[in-house]
Amino acid sequence: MNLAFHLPWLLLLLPLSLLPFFSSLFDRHATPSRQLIKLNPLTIWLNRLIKLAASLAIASVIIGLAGLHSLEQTVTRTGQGAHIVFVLDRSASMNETFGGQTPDENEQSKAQAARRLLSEFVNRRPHDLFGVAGFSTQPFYISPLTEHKSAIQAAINSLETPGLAFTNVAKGLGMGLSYFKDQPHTGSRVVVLVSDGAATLDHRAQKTLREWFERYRVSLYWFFLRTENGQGIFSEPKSHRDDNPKVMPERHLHKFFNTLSVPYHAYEVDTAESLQAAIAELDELESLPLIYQEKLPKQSLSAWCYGLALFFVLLLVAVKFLEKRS
Amino acid sequence: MKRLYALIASAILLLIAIVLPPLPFTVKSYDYVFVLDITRSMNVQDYSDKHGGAISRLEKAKAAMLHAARSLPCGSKVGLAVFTERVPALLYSPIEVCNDYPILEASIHALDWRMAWVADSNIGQALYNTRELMMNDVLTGSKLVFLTDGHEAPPINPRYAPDFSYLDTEDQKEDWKAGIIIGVGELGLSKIPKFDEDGVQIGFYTAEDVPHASRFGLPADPSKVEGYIPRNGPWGTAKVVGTEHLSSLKQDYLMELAKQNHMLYHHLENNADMARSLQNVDFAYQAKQPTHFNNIAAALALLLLLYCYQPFRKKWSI
Repeated sequence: MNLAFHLPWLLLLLPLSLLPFFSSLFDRHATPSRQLIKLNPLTIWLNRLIKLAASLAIASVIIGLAGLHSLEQTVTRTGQGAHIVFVLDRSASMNETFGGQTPDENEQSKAQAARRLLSEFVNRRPHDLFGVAGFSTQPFYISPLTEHKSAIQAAINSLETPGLAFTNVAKGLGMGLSYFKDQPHTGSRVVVLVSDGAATLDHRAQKTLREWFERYRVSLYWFFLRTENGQGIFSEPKSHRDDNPKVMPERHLHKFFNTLSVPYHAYEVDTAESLQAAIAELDELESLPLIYQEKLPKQSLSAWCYGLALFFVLLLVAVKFLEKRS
Repeated sequence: MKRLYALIASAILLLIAIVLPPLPFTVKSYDYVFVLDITRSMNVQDYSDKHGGAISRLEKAKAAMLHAARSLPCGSKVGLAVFTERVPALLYSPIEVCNDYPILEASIHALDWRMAWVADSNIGQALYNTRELMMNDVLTGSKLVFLTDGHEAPPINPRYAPDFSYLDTEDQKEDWKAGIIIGVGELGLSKIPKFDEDGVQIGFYTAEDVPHASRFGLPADPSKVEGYIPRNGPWGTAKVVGTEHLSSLKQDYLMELAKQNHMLYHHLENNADMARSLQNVDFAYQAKQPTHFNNIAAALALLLLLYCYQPFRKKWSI
């Protein structure tokens, strides 16, 4: 057990606990002759015990005031869970509805639907670590893998705010994967790509992503927020001429993800309900045994000190009550 | 008898110290969103660290933001956003500065000019859009801390500057403050580093690299433009060469922006001063923070105990 004090300088008051040995709790009474008082060992020891009790009472109040506490400790536990990194698309089109329009009062945009459901999902998974990365034309680091739920929610809140420029999936995924660089390998590792568009990946990007997915053993979920009548992951080309990444980036990105050596699940989501179903499936699939560190917060021991002091003071009250009064 | 009562009182106080739950107590709290300029001019190295080495405005601003977050009282909140060109991007809404400090630290360390999704910088428009962003539901009640060097690139045409009075709301009080603009950089001109597409520095911007005057829209008074040709040369035909390839803190411009936006202005010179400028009462709000009063009861109990054993008592009671 590691102990520490909030205000260690208060311990300078500790010598005050010696006061009972220099003065007495009881009134002095004059006696005509010393012979009348019998000094027996029992009274001598009782007197010493009373002084000791007072001394301990004073000392423990001082120690309590100095803020005795046990330090924060980390305990390793095993549970079910995952390390999940959300890679969020912050491109401008995320602010439209699934119907491809500017949302009015009764509708919600793709970003808002995603925000609400992701935030519920985070609350449902107590032991998971979550990280958040965003991307539009450039990736940006939002929050590291952490168990601080309030911070994760705050990062997901950013989906509420206006989107930026274009959709550069490769850089976003790269940023998301980089979160696993220094993480211990335990439980499931998941990257959840939430986007409403795709982009072509050049060879350099493909090679890097393939390498990183293999190195970090991260499974990939793609929640594709499909706009009505827009192209989807599973759209079939009408002619051979259309079957290329420039015309159908979603289909080809999906093909590329399928060639990765890690588990990959794609969900085409075109309503808020289907997004919920996709998240429920992720919830079910990603629960490998996870070794996680639980932090036991520092615990104040002041109350125990005061309790001890109270015990001794009550003793003193009893003794003082029994004192012979003149 | 006095001492008996003192002992009993001391016991009661100790009991209170043990069982008293934390009481809600009103304390000063702050709620900020730090919005950092990540345009190229922020790479100018015109600050020095404590060893005398040059550091960029961006690094200085990051260190100052962390220092400011650390010195806010617990229970205060800080959110983070960046801007480039004219658009801000919120990274997260405000989070608590004590419990969530590790996240603040990691994300502020990770801020980088390479996050910029476009390269221009239009500070006035960005400030306008940021203030609009601050009206979003998730940022209600937060104050804006806008960190920038005020360098517009390319130079703007003042005719098209945004009108900030559109952002005023009706129920806004006279002395209401939207936040504070932090001017980052030194007042003297410095060279702006230039990078290639892999982020390797390849020198500095030269006079040929950048436009030196606004070419956007129409000039306010054509008669003052030398060589004005209505169709082919609305901004004149003369070659304008200025110092736009060098950068300094545009303090007067930022002060003017601050005035139009009900904001304060502070020039970032050292971290502690900036932290102090954020602990301004104008920005504080009263929050109920659970506070422990147990130690006060315990301290009184201690005084009573010491009274019972004080050595200066008269030796003989009469």
